[in-house]
Amino acid sequence: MTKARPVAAIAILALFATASLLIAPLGAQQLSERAKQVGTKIKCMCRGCEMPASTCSHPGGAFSGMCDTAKGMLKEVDQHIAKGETDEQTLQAFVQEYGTQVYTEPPKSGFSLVAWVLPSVYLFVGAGVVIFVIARLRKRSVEETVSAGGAPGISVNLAPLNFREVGPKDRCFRILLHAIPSRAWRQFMRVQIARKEEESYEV
Amino acid sequence: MDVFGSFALVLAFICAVYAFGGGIAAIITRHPLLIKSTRQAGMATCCLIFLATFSLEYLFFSDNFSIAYVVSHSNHDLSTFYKIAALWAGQEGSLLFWSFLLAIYVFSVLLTYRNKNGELMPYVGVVMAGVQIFFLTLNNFVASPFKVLASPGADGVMHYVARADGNGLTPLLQYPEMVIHPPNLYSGYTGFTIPFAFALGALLARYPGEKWIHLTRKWTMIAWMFQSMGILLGAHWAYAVLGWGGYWGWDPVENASFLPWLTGTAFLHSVMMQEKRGMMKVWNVWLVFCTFLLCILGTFLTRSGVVSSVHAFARSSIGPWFVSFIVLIILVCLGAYLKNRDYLKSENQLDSIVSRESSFLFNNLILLVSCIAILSGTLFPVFSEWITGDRISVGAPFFNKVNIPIGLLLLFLTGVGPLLAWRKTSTESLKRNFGWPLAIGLVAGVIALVFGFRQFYSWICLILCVFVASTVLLEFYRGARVIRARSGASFMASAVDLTMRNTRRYGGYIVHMGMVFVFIGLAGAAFNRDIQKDMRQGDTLQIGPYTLVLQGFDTKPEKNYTAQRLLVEVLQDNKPTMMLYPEKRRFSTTEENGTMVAIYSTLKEDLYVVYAGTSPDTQLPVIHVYLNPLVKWIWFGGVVVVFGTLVAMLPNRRALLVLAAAPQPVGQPVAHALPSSVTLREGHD
Repeated sequence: MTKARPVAAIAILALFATASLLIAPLGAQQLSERAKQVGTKIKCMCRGCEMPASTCSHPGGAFSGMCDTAKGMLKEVDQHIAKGETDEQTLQAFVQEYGTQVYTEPPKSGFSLVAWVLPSVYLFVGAGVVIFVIARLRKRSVEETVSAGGAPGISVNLAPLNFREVGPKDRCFRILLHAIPSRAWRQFMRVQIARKEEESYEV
Repeated sequence: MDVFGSFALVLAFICAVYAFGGGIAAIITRHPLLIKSTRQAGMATCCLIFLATFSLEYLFFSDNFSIAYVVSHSNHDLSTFYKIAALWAGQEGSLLFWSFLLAIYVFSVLLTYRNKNGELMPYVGVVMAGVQIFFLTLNNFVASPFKVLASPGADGVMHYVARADGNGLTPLLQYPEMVIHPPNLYSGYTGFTIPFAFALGALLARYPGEKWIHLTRKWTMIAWMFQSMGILLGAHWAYAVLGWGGYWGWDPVENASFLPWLTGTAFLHSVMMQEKRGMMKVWNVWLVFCTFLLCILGTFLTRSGVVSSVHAFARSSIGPWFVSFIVLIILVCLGAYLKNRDYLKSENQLDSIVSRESSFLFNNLILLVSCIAILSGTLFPVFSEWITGDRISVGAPFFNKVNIPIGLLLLFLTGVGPLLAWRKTSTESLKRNFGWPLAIGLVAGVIALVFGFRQFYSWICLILCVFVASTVLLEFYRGARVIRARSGASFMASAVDLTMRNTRRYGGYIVHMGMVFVFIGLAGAAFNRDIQKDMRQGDTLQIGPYTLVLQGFDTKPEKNYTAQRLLVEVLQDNKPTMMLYPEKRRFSTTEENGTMVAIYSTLKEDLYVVYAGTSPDTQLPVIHVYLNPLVKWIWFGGVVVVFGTLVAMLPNRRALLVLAAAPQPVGQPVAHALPSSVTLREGHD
């Protein structure tokens, strides 16, 4: 028994060593470059992140190396590639399995196309509006210079409006007068209005 | 203290309601005493909010573990630094913190203008009180931070329960930026309330002229500066803590903080049109309305978890409140606008397409397109699920593809816009201003191509950065040369003098320069590389010019966590350069993990080393190394942007040049050395 112990220990060590030698390259080798390429287009379905399968690593977690789900997905990609499928077919297989949310970016087809088209639409509509505004402002400017006796480039600066004249009082009052359906309130407001009007005459 | 705090909050609510209702009455009756009393009620609201906030901080510092909020976000071992920061670690506290920051702004505004702008201030006070009422409602009735832990006793009566220790702060949040990033971002969010209140107040009051814009310029810039800092600090935090090698992931919450920044930037530019030329009044009013709405939306997205996000530590059911508030603001703004839109008539017209005015229009267009594109991209998954039932992901690749061209266009305008004259720019001045910068930019582009630069967008970005930087430097050079000719001072002193004479214009240039640095840093992202490897002691790993050697590992017990460190020696071109210590932290109270990235940062590139953990396959430590070129430029650019903003807020120094010119011989005309173009352009900004 005592003699057998070191032998057993050596045997176990040897087993571990070969096992680790076998496992270590396996993990690193199996995934092809092409699998990683395709992996950038599909989202890792570990539901803990929004990262592509080729970079999902759960930063901040207990282990932020490559996520197991992502590894599994990339192996699956490799299997598809081994069957001689194109990248597009591989992607379709994933969509079959997980639905459209497996894409890292919206697919350029169907309703999702809208997401891609929208930014350009904004840009064109916006540019259209800006050009329209410029054209309109220019037209008005030309008209006014002509009517102002052709003095080029001098635009009339309106005098600041008299605050008291167009003040908010009367408007506010009119709205507030009918805001509360109560006779007492209207009475009160009318007194206020009368007082204000007197004041503004004084000014 | 908790009773004290919650009473302060209730009283603050009552005061705010009085400030609001009394303010409306004051506007109607114009009774001077009522106006004064509502203003003081507004200030009292703010002071009460300060008291409530301080009492919550007191509860953190006294380790009062009978308060639910303190229990969930603190523990005995938490350091002082993070006890301050724990205030905004969760939902209730952040909302109180929002109120607190808003109260600082409101208080300063009420105090600064207590004897000024008598016609406008009651309206502004009412709007500010309205916003405060909303947040105080949340603080008081929806998400009170002063809830105590209690359980029913044997007699059926509820009794206080005090825990022995709290749950501690989420490890992700235990990083120095936690103490400064949220306050900055929130100061940005809340700060935009002030221009909003002034814009809405001026519109309601039909307040004459552009006075409200002059009044709010500095407030807007302060808010904008905080927002910019907040965004960049957030990016830096993500970079240094999350350990994924990047700084911006187009996460919904990141996007939400970016949106008001975009519209705020547009607003800062387009108000100049109104100030100088009396144009774009409707547009400006709506821009500031939208900025404020986006701030509220940003807070909502951060706090509600409508769209999934990494900021998921703060979720709840306050959504309906925010939605109602947003709808209410839209209705009020729309009502005010429809009622008084005749007041917003443009005074001047556009003289030429090639002018500062039209460049501002395009600047606004680009910023707004970017903003709406990001907004619709962020919300697209929600819409898509409503309409088609499919959940789709709109991730970083989408936002990058959409926003990189937009950003480059904006960078181009940054160079072109400031040098176009108001009203009309002659071909002559176009040649003079852009000839050299364009040539230098193109030469830089060709050189880059020769040296094997093959990333299209980064290449364009490089050309534009050189172009914009040259236009800015050329402006400083020209102005400084003129001053030097007159005062005889050194070139640097002349440049400083020039800046101080027109702080707004040259401060703006400094901000633009900072943005150029940020863009340089962003362009580097196209060349990022990374390697992940299981390492035995003594193993080496090669990335770029660096060789990493794993020298060993150790365990370091700290007060709040246990750190496992890797000792990694870095050799650059086979010369020992430095040691890096990437860490993995295990927090004892929460059983959670944290990462401490080790970064060796130079202007050329960042060597970014993450200890990923122990490989499940081989039981060896896994090192993930990134080589990220030019990242440091982003942070440096951020510092420059903040500096430029501060410069732009300084008052102009005018008399100094006259004093400096005084020793000249008598009888010589003083202005002879000053070319007419410079004197003419001086007043433009």
